[in-house]
Amino acid sequence: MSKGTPTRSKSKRILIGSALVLIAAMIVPLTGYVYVAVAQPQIESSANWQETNPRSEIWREVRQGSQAYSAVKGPEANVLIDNGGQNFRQIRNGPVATFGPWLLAIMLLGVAGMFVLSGGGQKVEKPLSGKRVPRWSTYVRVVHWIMAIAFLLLLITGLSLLFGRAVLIPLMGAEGFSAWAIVAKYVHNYTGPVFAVSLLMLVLALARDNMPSKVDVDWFLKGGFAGKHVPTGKLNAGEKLWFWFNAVGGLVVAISGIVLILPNIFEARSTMQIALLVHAGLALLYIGGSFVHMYMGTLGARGALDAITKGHVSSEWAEQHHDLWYDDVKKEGKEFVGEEGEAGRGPEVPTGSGSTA
Amino acid sequence: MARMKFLCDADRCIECNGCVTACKNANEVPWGVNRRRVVTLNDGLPGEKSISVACMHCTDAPCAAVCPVDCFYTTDDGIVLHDKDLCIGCGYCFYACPFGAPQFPKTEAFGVRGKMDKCTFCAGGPGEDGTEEEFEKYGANRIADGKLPACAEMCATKALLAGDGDMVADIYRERVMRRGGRPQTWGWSKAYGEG
Ligand code: HEM
Ligand code: SF4
Ligand code: SF4
Repeated sequence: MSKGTPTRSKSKRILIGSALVLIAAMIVPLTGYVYVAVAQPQIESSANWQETNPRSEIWREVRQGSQAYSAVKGPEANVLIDNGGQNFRQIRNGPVATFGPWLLAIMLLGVAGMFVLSGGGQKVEKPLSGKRVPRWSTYVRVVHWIMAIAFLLLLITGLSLLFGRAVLIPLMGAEGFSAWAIVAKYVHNYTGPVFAVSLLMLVLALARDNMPSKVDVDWFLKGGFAGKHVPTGKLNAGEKLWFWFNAVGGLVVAISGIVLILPNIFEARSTMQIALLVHAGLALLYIGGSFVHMYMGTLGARGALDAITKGHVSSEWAEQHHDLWYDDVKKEGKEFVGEEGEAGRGPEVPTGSGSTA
Repeated sequence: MARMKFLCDADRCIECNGCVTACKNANEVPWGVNRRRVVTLNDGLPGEKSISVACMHCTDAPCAAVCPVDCFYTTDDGIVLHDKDLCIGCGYCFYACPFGAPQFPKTEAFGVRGKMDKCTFCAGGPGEDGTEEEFEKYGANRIADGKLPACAEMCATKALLAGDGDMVADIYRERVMRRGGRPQTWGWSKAYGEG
């Protein structure tokens, strides 16, 4: 640099220079990918690889987990190295264990937010006349509650296995938690099939009611999800969404769970690694979703709980939440006069403490 | 302090399964469980190679990382052991282990797993050393007696080496130098990382 250079252009050059260095620093490491992309096919395409260096070939195959022979028989006893375990460890202890608790916390906060914003949950606006309409059959209600209880048991025991080491060992001690974890394992293993069967029964029983229709599109477009009332049939689009999440996600959780309880049939570690990751990840989403479902069924839409406990709801609730369905039921002449105690109370609607049908 | 490691010299192993038998005999492992096994590559073909493998006692052990009840611990000698009183038999360690070391006695209904069993480097388990109870649960504690694992001591060709990692590496390096060829510290990078 000559002596007479004005300082301004000097600083400009420094600026440009450092920008170039920065850009280079960002680009140069990327050339690694180019190298890999170019070098890899070369290595693989050289047909006489095996002949030129049989030893390297052997060790490369071993590192890739290829099958060999072993006189000892057992699940994959003939495989020297299984690389999937590393991914399994990293995904389970990484994203699943970190995002899981966040997801659950966000869902809980979301539910609390819904409660506050709606002014303590939606109440039935009209005074109750005592008239009722039937909603769910005994079959649906019994299966629903078997499934719900199984779900809660699986939730408690499953989360214990996933987060107990971080949360419960400090509280209960290693021995205490181990004792609980053994119970949790057995409860989880034996409740699982009960859940799977009841879920399947409920999905089959309710699929027709949950077929999407044009009204459902309006529900989303017009803000039904934000608590606005949009004309709806027996189930609104939000409820249908939850149903289909159950039908697909729930069944995947159930199937992956059943794979996990049968290590004698599904012996390959890769199967188990994937099954456990899918199982844990989807189960966490499922638990998050269930918070919303449980809130809507109790505090979120007052009077809804009657539908799945007693099997019938007040006509006023039906009209307010599912007007199109209410019109149909009324036309079919299924409306009836409820028992004492189901009428007269103001907009603060009963929680189903009366006698059941 | 020693850092215990296994090393199998694939140019010496003749697949006699003596180590497997020695292990079973020394530890009286449960039926159906093999803590050690010999795997043969290119079996019956030119370039056949055999390797004896058991738990490698990893530095950053994957089994310990995923165990829901946190029942693993590493001894001062770098041996990875576990507490069968805490183990719930979930099988996660088997899914995570690169070497297929954790084993499960199939004794319960519907194939539910019993307590995990694996190579202890002949170092027993938690609790007092050399007791009847320790032997029944974990097998021999030769390390407490100042002896090395039975498998390596029994190996007729001295293919299987067990002991302090530096010493084992030195012995192997010397062998390779004498006979020529390239060293193959099989499984070491997986088990021990760079260290
Ligand atoms: C449908 C039937 C189900 C079956 C057969 C099943 C089975 C299993 C099995 C075998 C395991 C491995 C743990 C062990 O062996 O003890 C497991 C783990 C787990 N399950 Fe399930 N399960 C089912 C449903 C559910 C549901 C509905 C949830 C959530 C509410 C759930 C949440 C979990 C969680 C969080 C884990 C722990 C995963 C981990 O530690 O990485 N499971 N399940
Ligand atoms: S070889 Fe397997 S069982 Fe042994 S320490 Fe490593 S991961 Fe754990
Ligand atoms: S089987 Fe036992 S040692 Fe293995 S991860 Fe499960 S609880 Fe831990």
